[in-house]
Amino acid sequence: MTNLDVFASILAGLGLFFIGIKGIAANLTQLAGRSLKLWVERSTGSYPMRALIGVVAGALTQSTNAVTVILMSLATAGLITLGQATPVLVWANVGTAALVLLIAINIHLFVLVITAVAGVCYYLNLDRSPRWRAFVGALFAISVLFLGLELMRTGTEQMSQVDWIRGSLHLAARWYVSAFFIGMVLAVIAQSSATVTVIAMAMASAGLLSLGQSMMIVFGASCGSGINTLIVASGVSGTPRQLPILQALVKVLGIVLLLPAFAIERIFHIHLLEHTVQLLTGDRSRQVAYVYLACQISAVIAQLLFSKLIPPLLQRLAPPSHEEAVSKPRYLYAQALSEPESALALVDREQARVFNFLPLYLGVCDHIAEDEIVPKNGAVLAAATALDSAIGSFLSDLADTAPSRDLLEQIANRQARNSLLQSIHESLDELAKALAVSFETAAMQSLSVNLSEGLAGLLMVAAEAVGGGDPDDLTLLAKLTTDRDSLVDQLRRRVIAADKALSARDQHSLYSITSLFERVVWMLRRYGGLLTVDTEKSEAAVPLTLEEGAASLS
Amino acid sequence: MADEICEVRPKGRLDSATGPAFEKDLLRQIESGRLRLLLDFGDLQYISSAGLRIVLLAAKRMKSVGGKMALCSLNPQIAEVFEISGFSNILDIHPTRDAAVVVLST
Repeated sequence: MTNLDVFASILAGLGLFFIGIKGIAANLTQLAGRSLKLWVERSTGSYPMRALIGVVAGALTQSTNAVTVILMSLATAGLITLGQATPVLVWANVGTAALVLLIAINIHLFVLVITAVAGVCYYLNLDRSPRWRAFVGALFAISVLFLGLELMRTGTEQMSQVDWIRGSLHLAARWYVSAFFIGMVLAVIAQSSATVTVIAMAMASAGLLSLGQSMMIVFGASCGSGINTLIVASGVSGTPRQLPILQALVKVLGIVLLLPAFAIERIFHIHLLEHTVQLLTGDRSRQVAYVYLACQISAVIAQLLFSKLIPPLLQRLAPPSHEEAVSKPRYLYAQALSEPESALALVDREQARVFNFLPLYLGVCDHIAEDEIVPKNGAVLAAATALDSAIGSFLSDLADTAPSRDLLEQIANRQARNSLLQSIHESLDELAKALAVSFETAAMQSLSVNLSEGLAGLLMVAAEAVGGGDPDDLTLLAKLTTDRDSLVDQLRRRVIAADKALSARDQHSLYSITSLFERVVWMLRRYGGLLTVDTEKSEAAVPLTLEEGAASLS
Repeated sequence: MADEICEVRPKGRLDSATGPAFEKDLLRQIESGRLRLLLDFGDLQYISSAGLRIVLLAAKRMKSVGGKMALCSLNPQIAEVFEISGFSNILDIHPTRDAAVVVLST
């Protein structure tokens, strides 16, 4: 084999390896992601159970970044706390050692069988079946990965015969510090410490690296993986950012625990990690695999050792963002579910809070209390959507407590209000964007201003009625939200009459904003109606008799 | 004095800047025992949602003390804002001062 064949063989093997790794991640991460969410939601306060979930998730995804991202999305949705996510996150590192350990075993025959089975599955079109697609894809990816490794192994064995290569590698890895940094940099580039470890395993097996050099490369790769997690999460803010910081911290702390042991072993010849792995196996490749496993376990130990110090540090490094604070429910908490009547009152307060955000779309915030955190411009819909989702989940959980029929009706009423409230927010967001456009004619500009002020005035009255729940205020709201179809018609005619050469864009805007306005008013009326129904029921269904003109203030 | 019509005629703009002073003046008139309040918008060019809120507050206060309130001489822009907000459904609005005075005097 020429030198060119050797390098080509290694690169081809590396290429197949990367294809295999990506294929496993693509096929199994999706399954693991859905299952992980389900497992985490259903798991109790049991640390061992969460640790097991983490190990399985890490083994399936072969990516601590993937597990971190999944947990971050759960944290953002408020489904998991830092304390609940921590065991899953740190033990996922141990799970990633599964593939590394498997690779250390000579499974040549097994790989050939898997490749054959994958081929048969594709021949039978099982890859087109929604049920089997992910499994067949993963099987094929595993076979490609191992075939790549075999090719790499052959290449590196040949490479060990080339003098200048042996010399260069020895020089580069001669100083343990340089080996550490090589491992770190490669892990950041490859986005995986497991990948770097497998390469180190192949080179160690070929005699290109000593165990000591391989250990430093693996240590560096673990730190690099932590840095990589931070890079991946760089666009995230608020408390979800605490998870990638935690992951990076425990990985680095784990290596900080192992490095002194490595130095002590080297300097004072005291039998520690290096001696232990040599006792466990004489196979150099497996020794490196065990070192990788030790790095992951060390990260878990670091988390347990510093478990009291880490949370306050994370809170300081990644405090809740403004958006997070405004999007978190203020009145709802899990324990409230044990008292359904009180829980409904809390839901009313939370919904009133979300309703109070409505005038913000039109730039009005005078009605908001001083102690209330207000969503920033452009973030109102996101905050409302997050809160509506939280309220919806709370109501579902409340319904699951098997309350009485009356309570179920009240829950259904609030669920209807929740859905309607989300629709009002979406329509107002759309309307606000339409009104923000600069119009060409004076008539459109005047309409835009009048619509903003008039609707803002109506929304403030509605917010007061919803917040207070006073029957007179609700009756007033009903009077204020009568059908606007004739008014809308009149507004459109006025604008068209004022400027017969209305541009196509302004015409479109005219119909869009007046239709949205009409829709919002209708939905406000409907919302008031739902509140009125509930108020009537809670007043023991005594029929409300309105005096003539009671809804009028003249 | 209670039966005399108290006329308030704001000028220019009624918004979040000018609103507080107007609100203070209105409420003072109501608290002094006036039971007939006429808001003449003949000199008012513009009203914002903050102004609407003050008008509604005054109307509610007058109702709570058994009084009456009317508005008059709204220009087309202000009339449109009242229509859009639905306030024209619940407030007594007249095209001229004389028409409003007649109603308040009954």
